Formats: sequence, structure tokens, C-alpha cells
Amino acid sequence: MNQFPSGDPILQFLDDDTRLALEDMLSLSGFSMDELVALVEHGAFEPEGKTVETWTFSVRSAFVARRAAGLRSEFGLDTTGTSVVFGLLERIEELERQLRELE
Amino acid sequence: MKYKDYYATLGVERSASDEDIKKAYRRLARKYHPDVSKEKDAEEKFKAMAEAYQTLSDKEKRAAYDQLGSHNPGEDFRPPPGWETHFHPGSGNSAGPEMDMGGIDLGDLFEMLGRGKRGARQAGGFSGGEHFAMRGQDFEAKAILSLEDAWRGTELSLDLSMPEIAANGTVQRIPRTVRVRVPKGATDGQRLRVPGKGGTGMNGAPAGDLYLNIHLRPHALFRVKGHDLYLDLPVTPWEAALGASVEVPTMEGRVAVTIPAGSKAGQKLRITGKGMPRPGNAGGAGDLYCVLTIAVPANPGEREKALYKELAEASQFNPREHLQ
Repeated sequence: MNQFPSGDPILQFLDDDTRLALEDMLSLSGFSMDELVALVEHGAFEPEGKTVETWTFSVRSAFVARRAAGLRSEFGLDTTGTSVVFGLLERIEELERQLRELE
Repeated sequence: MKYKDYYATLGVERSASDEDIKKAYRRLARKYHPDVSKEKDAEEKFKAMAEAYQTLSDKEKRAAYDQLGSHNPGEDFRPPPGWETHFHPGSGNSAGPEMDMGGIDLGDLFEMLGRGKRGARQAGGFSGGEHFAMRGQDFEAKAILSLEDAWRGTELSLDLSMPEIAANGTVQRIPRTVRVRVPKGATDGQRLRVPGKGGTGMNGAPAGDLYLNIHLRPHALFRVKGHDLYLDLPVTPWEAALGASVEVPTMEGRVAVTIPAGSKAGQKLRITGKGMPRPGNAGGAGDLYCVLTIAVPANPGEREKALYKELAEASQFNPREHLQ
């Protein structure tokens, strides 16, 4: 966490090991609570935390979820389809990251 | 107001059924959605299609759009008298049928109709969306930094276009310049959360956040992996064989590195703490790895050739023993 004086907002770097709270995940992804729970049940995300209220998510999964939520709306995907899209987007993101490292 | 032909954008007839419109949209979305398309200008085309579909897929909005009549795309036109109050009764007080629509984007106008409907639903029947609080939208933007800027920290000025609700209740895309001070130590693929710099909240609700997706521009010398840097370090065959002390560049000046005798190509030499700084209280920095490559002169002189020949005759070394 880095803080700047004179009214600058508190900026936060989000690394792969940063965990996001449920509220952040919902706000960022655009999924509703019911959709998120259904996707977790489908195995799309693996939140940490024993109860739904204490779930935390990886930063990468939140941003992939945001793209998956967009595709779900555009193509009218059901939960299974969204879950598959999420898995594929996650793989693409990881491969693109590896590709950038090799460039 | 400039006319946009939503039917032409989706490639359907004005008489198309809801199902035809949905099919046409999905077919085009498959081709141009920025997450699945590599087509040039995909994002721009997709935005136009999404705007057309948002209006034509909603019965009420489509009826309102049809009432505007058919014009040539880009042609200046005015909605028929009473159109605005008929389809968006809540706007009568603030904007009124006499409002000047000259500068309004047709897409924004239809988004406003949607907001009015959503607002009425969420606020339990109030017309318009004025009475409920809604947190501003989160936004994502790409920030491309040079390695030097990421290393020492930098200030970015981002030109963003965010939909906001104007004083007269219309949703308009307002160009906003957001200045962000990126602390030192950003690295590729990281996100930087800038609280409160996203979309404006409605009725006292907090603004959304802006998330910067950080990409580092490829550097002429260094490759980045997390907070570690990689540098290809060419050495001569005799430096690799006999060992040597060579100078290498780092982000903060040159340092001497010892090449151990008997080094191989691909071997990594670590210079601790000369990678990218780690942000935050933890501090410290990643490491710089020098990856050895063995370089030979392209045009060796006569004397060099003679010495290579002498070495070849004297040496019993066979690097291909395992291939026998």
C-alpha cells in the first residue's frame, strides 16, 4: 500500500498474491451474488474462506471474471457456458503473460 | 442529433423479429467482440453493434427508435414533437420536450431511457432515476510504461471517456483526464487500484475505482519476470573457459560481475537486489540475472584462426559425447 500526500488517493498494487474481498469481486466482475455462487459451485473459481461472507478471490480471477461476465451478457451464456469461458480466458491470460515474458 | 441506422449496423431489415435481431447480434458479436476477435477495429465495431442491440432488443426502446423514422446515417434530425415526453415521462421536469438535442448522442439518449426505466423499478415506482444511490462503475484502463518509468515511479495522465449523468438527467460520455502517480516498482501484468477515480456515484454513493492494467514496454536490454530482470550477457570462449571479470549494465549504473571459469552458455549469474524495486513497506528489490551466451568473432584474424587450430589439435574435449 502506498500513500501520497495532498489528496492523492491511496493506490494499491494488486499482485497475483493479493486477495480481493467478496464485495470487490462482485463490484469488479459485474456478477450478481447468485451467479457468483453458481460459478463457484461449477468450479470456475476457487475462493478461499469457509463461508460465503469470508470468501476472498485472486486478483487474476476477478479480472478474468469481469471479461467472462461481459461475454455471458453478450452471448446469453448459461452458468456452464460462462464457467467454460472463464476457464478458457484464464488459460489465454496465462499464455499471453508467458508470451510477454519471452518477448 | 445525428441519426444512426441501428438496423443497418446489425445488418437486419426494419421488420426483423426479435429472434432475428438476437441472432444477427450474436453472429456479429462472435466476430467483433474484443475478447474473442483479432479483427482490426474490432472494439469500435463492437461498440456500435452493442449500442444498436441495446436499443433494438428492448421492446420499448425499439418502438421509440422506430418512431424517429428512417434517415440517412449521420443526417441531422429532430425527434417528432412529444417523442421525448412520451417515451421518458420522468424527464419532463428536468429536460422537457423543448430541450436542445443538438449535441446529444443518439446512443446516450437511449441509454438514458434505460436508466429511467431501471430507476423507476429500483426506486419503487418513482419516475426517473433520481432517488436511489448507486455506486459508480469500476473502470479498467491499460497503462503502458517504460521500464525506466516503472523503476523510478512516474505520473500518468490518462484520457478516459466515462458515461456520466449530466445535470439534465441525460447520460453522456464525458472525456476525463485522470492523473495518477504510479509508485516505483510496478511490474508487467500487475494491476494498480486507484480508488474513487472510476465512474461517478449517483445520489451520494461513492465513485467507482479505476484499475490500471500495467504493461511494460519491451526494453532494449532487460526482460522482466515479476520483479526480476534478465540480461543476455555475451562472453568470449576464453572468458567462459578461463573466467573473467566483466562490467554489466544495471538499472542503476554498471557493476562488475565475475564469470566463473568453465561457464556454459545459458548459465545464469545472479546479481542480488538489482532487479525492479518492490513497492510498499516490504521494500527490497528483485534480482538481475545475467544469462550467458558465448560469442565468437564472425571474421577471426589469421593469428586467431591459428590459435583456434592449435587449440583444436591440443584439446580432447568432446561436447557431443552423450550423442554417441
